[in-house]
Amino acid sequence: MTTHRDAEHEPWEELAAGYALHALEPDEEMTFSAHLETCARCREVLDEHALVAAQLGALAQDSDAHAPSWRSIRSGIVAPDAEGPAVSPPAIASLEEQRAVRRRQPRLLAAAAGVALLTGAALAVWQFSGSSPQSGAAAAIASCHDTPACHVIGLDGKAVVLADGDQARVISRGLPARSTGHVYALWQMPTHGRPVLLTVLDSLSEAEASPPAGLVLPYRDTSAFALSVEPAGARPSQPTQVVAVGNATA
Amino acid sequence: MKPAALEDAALLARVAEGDEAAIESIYERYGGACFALARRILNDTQLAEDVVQQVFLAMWQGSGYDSRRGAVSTWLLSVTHHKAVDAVRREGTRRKRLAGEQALLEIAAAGPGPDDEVWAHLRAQRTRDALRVLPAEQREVVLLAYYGGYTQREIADLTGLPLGTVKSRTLTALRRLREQLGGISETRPEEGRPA
Repeated sequence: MTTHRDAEHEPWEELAAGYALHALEPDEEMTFSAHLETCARCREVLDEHALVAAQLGALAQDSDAHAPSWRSIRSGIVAPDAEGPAVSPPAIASLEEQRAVRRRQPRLLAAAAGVALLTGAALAVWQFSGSSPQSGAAAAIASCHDTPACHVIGLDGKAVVLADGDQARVISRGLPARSTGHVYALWQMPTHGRPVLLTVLDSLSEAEASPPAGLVLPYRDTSAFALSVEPAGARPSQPTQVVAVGNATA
Repeated sequence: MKPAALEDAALLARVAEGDEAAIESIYERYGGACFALARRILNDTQLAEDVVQQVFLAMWQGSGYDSRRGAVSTWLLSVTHHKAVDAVRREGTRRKRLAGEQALLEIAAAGPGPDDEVWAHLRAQRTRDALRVLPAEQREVVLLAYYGGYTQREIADLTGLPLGTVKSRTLTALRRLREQLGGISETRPEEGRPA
């Protein structure tokens, strides 16, 4: 028999199903991520859905295609001179190139922005239970989500910017480890004009948001935020190696 | 924890210490499944290789795996799926996505590959059987989401169904699959045997 409590919880379980299949819209994703922290029942349901999803994934056999050998992909994973699990930032397109691609794909803008949020949130779902070290970051995202003046901006699934009033903070979501002698730089992209440096960060954490940095321009005049990797010790005038970018949300 | 899961946990601990041999071992175990899933979603070998590389790069940099939430294989397939869906949306390869019922049925009906191990064959066969007994409309929403990389809102647009119907069908389908597959272990059958 379906109880009143079961019926009340049904919408959350529908979200859990979509979440397990990575098929929610960004706003739903954030809502469910925040709920997940407080709902043991949903965590249990999600784990069960995740197992079903993995079994669906195991159907993807293809005798015509063979996985690349470890040797062929290791250079992109393990830095040749690595002393530990750290790699150089990947070579990626410049900020302008990335934005040009986005202009060519207007239909995908919303989905891309959503995916950026989605990636961080879904990777974090494995870490959101109990005393996970991700709790501080998750709480910051949930708090921002509940604050009208706060905006959650996903940066290519690698980081999340929390733009709250006239300040911005950053949370890593699997950013590549910066190489020695380099720092991260957070940029504000105005609607018209050149990127503006907000702050330089020695490190970024997945567990906690970075210290707040003041926005140079009002949020309403912002088209995007970006993270770049820059040589330490110099204050860059423009981003040189952009590692993640995300469009400002309305 | 079962032997293979213990082995995986030990390997992951070594990966965290920068042991390349450990991540290579994990890749040898699960890289093929990750690649197959990514390629099925992306329909592009190069993009699939990129996705697999991203998955193992993330593991090398600190996995975020939580053993309380399931097996390493489940976690890896989940991360792979997520990154592949991310890529399919980002790369604009929607035109290549599985949209037709025929293509979806193909996944449910396909036989095992020649390289399947017996345990994987049995598990995959039961999953296909479970998919086949789902009502077609439930199978469609699940496969469009999982293998097509569509959001539920996009599925509603594609099928002309109300969004609420897509959501309820998806939940019902996953519940039925869970009931059908409830007895399937994440790990190999022999792992449950006493030493």
